[in-house]
Amino acid sequence: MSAFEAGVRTLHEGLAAWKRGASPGLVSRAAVLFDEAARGGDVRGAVGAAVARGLAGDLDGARRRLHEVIAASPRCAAAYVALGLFGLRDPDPLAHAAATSWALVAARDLAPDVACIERMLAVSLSAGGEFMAALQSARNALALDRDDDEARLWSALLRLHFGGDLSAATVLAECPLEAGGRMQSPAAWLAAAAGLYAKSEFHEARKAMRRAVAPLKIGDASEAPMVDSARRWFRELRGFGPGVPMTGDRWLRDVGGAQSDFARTRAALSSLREALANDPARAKSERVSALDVDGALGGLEAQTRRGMLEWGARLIIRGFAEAYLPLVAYLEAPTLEELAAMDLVVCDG
Amino acid sequence: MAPGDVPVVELPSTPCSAAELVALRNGRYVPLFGHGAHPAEVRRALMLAQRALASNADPRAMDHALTLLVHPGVGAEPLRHLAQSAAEGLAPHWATALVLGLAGMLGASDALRSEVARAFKGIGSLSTEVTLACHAGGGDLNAWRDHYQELRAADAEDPPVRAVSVARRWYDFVLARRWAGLDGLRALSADALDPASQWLAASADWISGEERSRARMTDLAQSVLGPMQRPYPRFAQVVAREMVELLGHPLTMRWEHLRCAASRDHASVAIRAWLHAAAEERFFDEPDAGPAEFGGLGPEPSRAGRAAAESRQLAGDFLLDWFVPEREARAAVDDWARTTLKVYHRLRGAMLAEVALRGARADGIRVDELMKEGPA
Repeated sequence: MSAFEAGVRTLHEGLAAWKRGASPGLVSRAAVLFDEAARGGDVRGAVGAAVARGLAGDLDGARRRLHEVIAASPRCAAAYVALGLFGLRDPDPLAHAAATSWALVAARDLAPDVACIERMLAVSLSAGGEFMAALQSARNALALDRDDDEARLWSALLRLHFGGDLSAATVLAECPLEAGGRMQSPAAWLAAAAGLYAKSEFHEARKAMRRAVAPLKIGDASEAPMVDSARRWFRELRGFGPGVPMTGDRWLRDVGGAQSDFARTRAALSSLREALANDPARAKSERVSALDVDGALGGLEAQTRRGMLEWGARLIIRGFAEAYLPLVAYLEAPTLEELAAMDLVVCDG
Repeated sequence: MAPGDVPVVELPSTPCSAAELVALRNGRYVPLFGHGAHPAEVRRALMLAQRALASNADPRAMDHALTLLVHPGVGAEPLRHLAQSAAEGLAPHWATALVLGLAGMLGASDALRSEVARAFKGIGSLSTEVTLACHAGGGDLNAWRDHYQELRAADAEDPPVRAVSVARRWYDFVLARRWAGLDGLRALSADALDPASQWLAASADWISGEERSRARMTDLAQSVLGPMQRPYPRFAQVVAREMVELLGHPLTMRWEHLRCAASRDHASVAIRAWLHAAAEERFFDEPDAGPAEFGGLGPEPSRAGRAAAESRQLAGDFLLDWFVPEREARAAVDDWARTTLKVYHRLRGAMLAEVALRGARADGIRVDELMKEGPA
């Protein structure tokens, strides 16, 4: 067995024993084995060494090593994937979202049609506020792997809060239940909370939120920021309100009330339209047409609605990424697919 | 013409000779009060105004008069000296008002008006006029945002100055398309305001579709121009021409303004409403809130919420409300605003100059006859 293979097996063992982090002894051993492989000129070994160190907690060291690997082997997709992985597993994923997206876009270019890369890209683009591109990536991930529950979660979240598609709330609410054993992380209940709240099932939403943070210990100072982050996001979800912006009862509140600039501009445009209709000759002489005013009225409505969804997504989806990703990184080891995308697997036979 | 042959101009003749024109363009002139704050210089300032604004004035005389306000070499240093002399009682107190009024009446650019005004910054009686001359502008270089920020800072000072509040709210409504600005202007107009501020407030009303404001604007302009009609007959013609340009197309301007208003980011108010609603939440204070650690969540928003709310403030709310995607409409409203502010400064300048002329007459200077005389 080569040093690289031994390193992979040790790393997998260490990750299998993941409990709020990898087994430190096994991950350190894996790092030493990967170093040995890297000294033999194996790029995978260099990536493995960085990944093992990153999973042991040295994120900065891991990033530095990965950048060195990229500088030496710029066509090594595994290094870009690893860089993306650590961007998403950072305690502050929003701060690293742009760099993470960059790494994952490069990884996708080098290794197209890999579902987990598309999914990770969707997540990082969501965290960075690039919602349209994120939605496309999430859909690509689902097209490549229909059973990718994580991609389904992000796709539904983006459809609900960026697309304004309320039917996605049901998908979100059922996400943890449908995934069953496949989706291990209780953090998925956070997404269920978003779906349930959008459907006005407030009590259920609160329960889902509590299930999401249930594995975290009460009074643990290191876990408290994650609980607070989730609670803060849920509080903002409640402030945002059920449903999607500018629908039903929430229309007036979303535009800022009856005296808002939106409402008054709309009223002023309507009154201008009336004035033009009353005096068509004057309107013609001043080259203002009622059709133009109608167009502006329609544009105002559409643009504001689109803007509301954009702002809502910035608040809710980015806030979700801020709360959800650290929870997942804390509670779950990288998946086998992610390890495979980083070339950290050994094919038997 | 050899450089040595170019004369040094103290007061351009009417009509202006070619030699004088060359001299003015080459900086070979004595700026106003360049000889010091003497009575002769005060007479020169009055005569300059006469030559620029009398009925038989040279068409270019207004530009020449503006040129003589400052000098490329010494800037507004002579005016600062005048301000100091006036403070010490060595020069008539109305001379500073006359110069600042002239800058406004002659339609000085933002930069020139500001340079002149800054020279008089320490004079208490002119502080409001200096603030407005410096900050109520921005159209020349599309620096509306900077001027708005200055006006906002000036408006926040205690005690509030109504004329500054009017200008700031005018910016809010006309350039940032915020209806609260119009409400504020209407509230301020209900109380006593100087005619120029009333005129500015009426112009905001006019662009909002209140066409009766046209008559009000005309009346206000006439009330300001009335006392200036005899000494400066050309001035009324200039203002009238600009007002025709301003008020000629009410429907078009109203439409352009509303187009800009419609293309503002109205959705951005929502984020504040959502965050406010979140801050009002008492969810975790409820009796069944669960474990104790769920009880003490601080009021601060999430990083995502903070970023969403702050991004507009970082970019500058006013800038985003002004710089709307409807470029043609924005350009049309900006042009209108630029002309409106020019007329506003002409009217403010006329008010100041009128005070100064009263002072001059009280000091025995026959203003109407200065045109016929040469420099003392």
